[in-house]
Amino acid sequence: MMDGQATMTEGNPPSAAPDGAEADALLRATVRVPKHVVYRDFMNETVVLNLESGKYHGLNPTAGRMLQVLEKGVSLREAAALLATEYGVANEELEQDISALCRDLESRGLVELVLDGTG
Amino acid sequence: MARAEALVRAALPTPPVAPRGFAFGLELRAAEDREWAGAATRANGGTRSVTMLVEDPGAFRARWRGTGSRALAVRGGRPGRPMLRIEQEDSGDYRVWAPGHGRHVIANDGTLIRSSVPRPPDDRWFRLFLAQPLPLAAALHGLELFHASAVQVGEAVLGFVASSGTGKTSLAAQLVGRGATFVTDDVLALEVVDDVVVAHSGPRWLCLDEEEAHAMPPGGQGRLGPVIGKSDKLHFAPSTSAAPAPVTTVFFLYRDHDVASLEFREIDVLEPRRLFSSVFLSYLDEPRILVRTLDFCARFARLVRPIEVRVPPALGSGTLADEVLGFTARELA
Repeated sequence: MMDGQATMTEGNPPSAAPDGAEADALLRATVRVPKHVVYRDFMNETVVLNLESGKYHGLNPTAGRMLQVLEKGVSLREAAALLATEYGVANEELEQDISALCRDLESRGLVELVLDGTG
Repeated sequence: MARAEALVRAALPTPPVAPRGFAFGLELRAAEDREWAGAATRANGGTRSVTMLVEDPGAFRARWRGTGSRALAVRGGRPGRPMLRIEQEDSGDYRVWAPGHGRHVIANDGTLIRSSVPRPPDDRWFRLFLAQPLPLAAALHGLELFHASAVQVGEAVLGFVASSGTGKTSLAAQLVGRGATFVTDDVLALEVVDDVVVAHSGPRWLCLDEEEAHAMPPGGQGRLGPVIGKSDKLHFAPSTSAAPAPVTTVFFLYRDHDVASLEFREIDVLEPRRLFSSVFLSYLDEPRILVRTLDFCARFARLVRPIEVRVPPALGSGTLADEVLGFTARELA
């Protein structure tokens, strides 16, 4: 079991769930951490710092692990498959969580999503 | 008349700038000797230094007005009448100003502080100097600063993080009165050396309510050093530790109406939020400093033992000091 859903400590209202085609495109995307963003692992939290805004954001361990895997350049779908095995949960559940996290991070300027053909 | 005086002052020979001691990990170089500079030395050889220059007010003010800047922090006072204003000049240098407390410009690399002192000079400009420009110079040199008091017991430094008014200065004073060595009363300068968090003593400056000073244990007030000034509080110059020392434990103090007796609780996981809210000079937003602080906090959380202390509102600082010493001897030996 996962030790909790991926969350940020200052959550925005969740954005509307994308339709099927959009969700699929998102799962094929990769993630890039911009130069103005750095993150460090603490004992039970990952802190993401946006140097442009000077704001710190907290990720719980699950979300921190997702970001760590995604930064290796794998797609959201590949990251979800790897983490589903790691946490022993269904792929679909992980895909939903990781997609929501990436949309949230992108809305805060903490990651850039590289969709097929935009990289 | 004022211009003639300024010319005379400018023509007077300036005493040579010389090393005067250490505070916040910096060697202080100034024209005047002062009792507040401790005799501490730096841990790893080499010297980080800051030169203090008191300049002619007229020329200083003209330069101040002619230089572009952006506001970083404005504190207190009524709208349009700040009690403290901190800015960053277009050049990257910082400036600190408080009405009646003088103006200070701090070089972006922390090596020079130029000050304009109100006349007649009194302790107020110097209180501001110790509270903002000097810690700022330390931060620009790479030291990390927490809003905390600290004392040294044996080889180890104990830090006390608390919001203003919680009693961290009184606690430090009471501990010094019971034999601890003074480290700092409000700003704790830290760095990681060989995977150890070490503390550098602040200036020899401790401001204490007169009533609190009289409530010290027998002989305790004498351990605070000479009284070197007075405002609404007495200004003591306690001896400081001669060398940087490892910080083993940090106590996070909270006055808590919901507790009937003092509670110590080991913090299993030190949340980043608790650390970031303890950072002094949180207005600094240069990327190099933000990243450095993030790195430092991540290491601090792994290297230092954090203890939460819930203090009943009526508990006196003397009793709190006794309990802290008891806890330290019992639990941290």
